[in-house]
Amino acid sequence: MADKTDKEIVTLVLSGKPAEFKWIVDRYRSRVYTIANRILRNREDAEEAAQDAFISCFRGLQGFQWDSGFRTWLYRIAYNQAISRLREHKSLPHVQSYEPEHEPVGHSVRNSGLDKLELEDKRYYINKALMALDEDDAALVTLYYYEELSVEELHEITGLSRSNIKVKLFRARRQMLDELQDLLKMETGIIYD
Amino acid sequence: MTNLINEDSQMRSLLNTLGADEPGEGFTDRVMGFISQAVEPAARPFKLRKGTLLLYGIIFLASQLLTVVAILNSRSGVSSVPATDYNGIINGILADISQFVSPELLIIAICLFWILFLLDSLIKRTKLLKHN
Repeated sequence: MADKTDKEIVTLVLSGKPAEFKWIVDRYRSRVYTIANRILRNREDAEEAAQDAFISCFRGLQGFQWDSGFRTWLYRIAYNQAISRLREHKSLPHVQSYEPEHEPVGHSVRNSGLDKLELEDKRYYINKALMALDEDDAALVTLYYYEELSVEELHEITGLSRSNIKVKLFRARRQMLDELQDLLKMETGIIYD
Repeated sequence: MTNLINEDSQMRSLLNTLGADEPGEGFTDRVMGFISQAVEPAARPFKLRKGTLLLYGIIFLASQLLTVVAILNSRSGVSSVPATDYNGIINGILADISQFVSPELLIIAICLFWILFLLDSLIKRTKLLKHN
């Protein structure tokens, strides 16, 4: 089943085999969860948003038109779920702050480049720099640079104008690279080039 | 321009290093659990209806059977029902009915009623399944 296309799986689901939707969940769970987590920055909330996104996707399968990509459509649902949850949370007096799970292990790699860091340490700093961005910018950066979606697809997912997306990506990229450089300088003495 | 391309490739490299986040253990099963719950309500009304239908059917058939037996007994002059005031009233009513309707006709009417009732439920069920 893993080699089946999204369309083939969805056709099976719609022909009365809802259990086949499992393959869609398996295929996209980490991506959908990543989008939600980059926006919400809280594991529990992100999991709930991802769950709701899959359930909404399942419910909307009947009406889905294959004109746009299934992946783009699913990401749009996930993005909207996470953004609406974020808005709800921001209206609450206390928002739980996000803390990366991994703490860097010592500073034995002082005065070397980011490339010389252990993978977990690299991830720690990159994550911290990413978390310095606004929530929706972090999602845009993830979708554009990690998922390698086009500006057009980002426009479909977020509803933002193409020019706005380009400006946001440009600013977010600058901010993240600056942040990373500052972090490395400040915390380890490494200058990222 | 070169700087922008360089920044772009740096960002790709950084984001790839960071990778995707993974949801907790059993995420897929939880989602599928919610989905099966979402699918079930469409079938549930029929299941409830089927059970209720069966219960009503048993009660109704039993009462109809007693009626027919009582009519047949009253015709042959034998009463299997204890002679209480309450049963006397019922026997009186049954005797009145038996003047107009023969027990055979009554049995046919009851069977016809149930056939139509079950057919109706079957059609409704088919429509419900097609709709879903």
